[in-house]
Amino acid sequence: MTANNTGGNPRAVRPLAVWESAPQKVTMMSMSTSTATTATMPTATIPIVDEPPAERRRSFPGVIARDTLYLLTGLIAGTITFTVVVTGWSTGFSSLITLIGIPVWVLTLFATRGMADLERRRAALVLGEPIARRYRTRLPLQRDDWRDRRRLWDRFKAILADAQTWRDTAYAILLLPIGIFGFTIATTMWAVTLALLTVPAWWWIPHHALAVPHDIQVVGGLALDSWGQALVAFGLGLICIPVTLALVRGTSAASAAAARSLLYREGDELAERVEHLEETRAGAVDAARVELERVERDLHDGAQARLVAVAMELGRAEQKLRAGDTEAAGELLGQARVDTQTALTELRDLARGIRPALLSERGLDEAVTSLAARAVVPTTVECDISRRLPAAVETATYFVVAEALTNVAKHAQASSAAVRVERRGDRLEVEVRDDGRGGADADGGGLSGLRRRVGALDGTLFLSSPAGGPTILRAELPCGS
Amino acid sequence: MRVVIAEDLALLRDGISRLLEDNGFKVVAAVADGDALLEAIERETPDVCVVDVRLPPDFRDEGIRAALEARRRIPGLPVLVLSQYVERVFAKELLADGSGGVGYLLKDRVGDVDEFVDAVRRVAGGGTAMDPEVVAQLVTGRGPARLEELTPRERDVLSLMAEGRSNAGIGRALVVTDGAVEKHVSSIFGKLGLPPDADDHRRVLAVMAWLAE
Repeated sequence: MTANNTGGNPRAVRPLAVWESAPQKVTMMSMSTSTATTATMPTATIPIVDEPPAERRRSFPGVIARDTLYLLTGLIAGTITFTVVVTGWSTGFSSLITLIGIPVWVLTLFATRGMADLERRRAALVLGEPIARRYRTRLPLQRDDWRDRRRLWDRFKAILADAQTWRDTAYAILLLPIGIFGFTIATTMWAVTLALLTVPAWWWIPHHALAVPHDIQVVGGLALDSWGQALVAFGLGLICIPVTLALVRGTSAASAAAARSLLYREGDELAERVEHLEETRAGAVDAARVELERVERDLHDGAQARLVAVAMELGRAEQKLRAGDTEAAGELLGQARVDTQTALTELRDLARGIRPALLSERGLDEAVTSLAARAVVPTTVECDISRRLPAAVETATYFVVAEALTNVAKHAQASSAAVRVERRGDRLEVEVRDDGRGGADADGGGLSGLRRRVGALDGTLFLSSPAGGPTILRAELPCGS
Repeated sequence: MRVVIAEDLALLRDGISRLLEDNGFKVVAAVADGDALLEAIERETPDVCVVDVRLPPDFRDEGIRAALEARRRIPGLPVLVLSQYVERVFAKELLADGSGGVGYLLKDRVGDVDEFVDAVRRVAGGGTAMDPEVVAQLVTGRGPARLEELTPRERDVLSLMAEGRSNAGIGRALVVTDGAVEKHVSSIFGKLGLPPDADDHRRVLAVMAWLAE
């Protein structure tokens, strides 16, 4: 069991593995929820990793202390999980006839999953990081699920059909014997070792410090009548130390391995994929909704209102003409022409916000180059793509660059910036870096919008912006082969 | 005639104000949201209000709600609601109290200044002004057996009636004599089972209420 410093779960380093290992503050943005560090996605929170997990080293006493703590808490945890699961299912079964049993079972399922999550986290004491969770089904249920009873029932059935649900249940029951065993090992071994090691003290204190007039001391069941015997006991204690350490280490590692084997599904890529897609789809739907609302508002307040104004001006001009007031009519017509121009500009800008014309007509290279040419600071472009990419990927790339350059202009106080677009196998890498003052806010509106846009395409967005700079924004987008 | 205007976009607020002032109205208040509208009507007691459906803060149906509240505070207060799109629910809500003096027009209609001014006057006079789009939605949206009994010509007359036009207006629009219109109207009432009524607005309201149901 690789329990200390190898980084444990190999998937947890996926978004980080491509990241420079420089010991700087790395803020990671990712729509991927399959990693342990991003388990709470998709929310606005973006985990901040102070240093890559691989760098983490722990002292041996620390490891043993954590192992011992894991074994001691295991008994408490096991008692609780065993009680909840056994009581839940049996109570549910016995009251099934009154139909109360069903909600009791549902509650038990909820509780089981909650306890399994806590156990995954507790295992971090030994494994160094929590066990990644992988379910085919989400809990808690989403608001949509409650809306219609059939959907709720389908969801419930899916949870029952999820093998992980039953592995959680099995673990909750097994944790009791595992906990008893671990607790016994830990308490016994530490008690015996500490007792033997302290025998000389027990021998010495009553005899000399307190001057108790007895020749024989009974310490921990041993009858001692001489310093020699006390020292023999101490020697035994010394021999016990490595045995205790090995047993504590081994037992905790084995317990954690048992937890891992039941609470983590090895290599179930499909489940991981489903979970990831479920969440990115939610993100994509959300992004589309926000975008549509913005377009609708822009139209309503912009071009549409402008055209109504034009209609009004023309109508009034018509009236003036009929009344013979050509001067006023001419003024109104002029105003109408200006308003028509403005409406056209607004429509063009709106269309550009949806998909820039240059991008459609000339491709990513030229569109990005044109963005760079318009940037406030001198910006170099390195674009290495041989042919057109899917439209969605091009658009997302364009907006990543546009947003990054806007941020450079607004916040970075940089003297230069560099854009790099490069195709690597079936992924497109987009990177914008500047030499500004850093400290970019990963939660900022623009960036979280980009994260949704990129996440919707199954891509990932990374931001590194330590105080003092440089700031690097990088997106990776799958773009077919 | 004293008008209060509620429209959040300054461009249109000014445009409508000028347009109405060109045509002999006196704009006593031009405000940007529902609360300011209620304040203005209580202060000014205008002859008619022109209200945009979408107002701050949420830009949904604040205008309709403000208009209904205004009519609750001052019963019978004439209100003409302008909207970027038509929604039959809004028309129904405006017509619900059956007291007349309401209008619901697409914003596009302001381009036809004479028609628009006419609609404002009609509403101010206690009549109705429904946008042809609204009427079309109401007529086609329903399609019950009783409407199917109407001849195509009678449907045209019903639509024009629902817009709030008088018999003479309908006659001009369809290029027929007043007498012919009257005949269609009484035939429509007969088929729809509505009692004949001399009052134009009540007649329209009855039709609209029946359509909007």
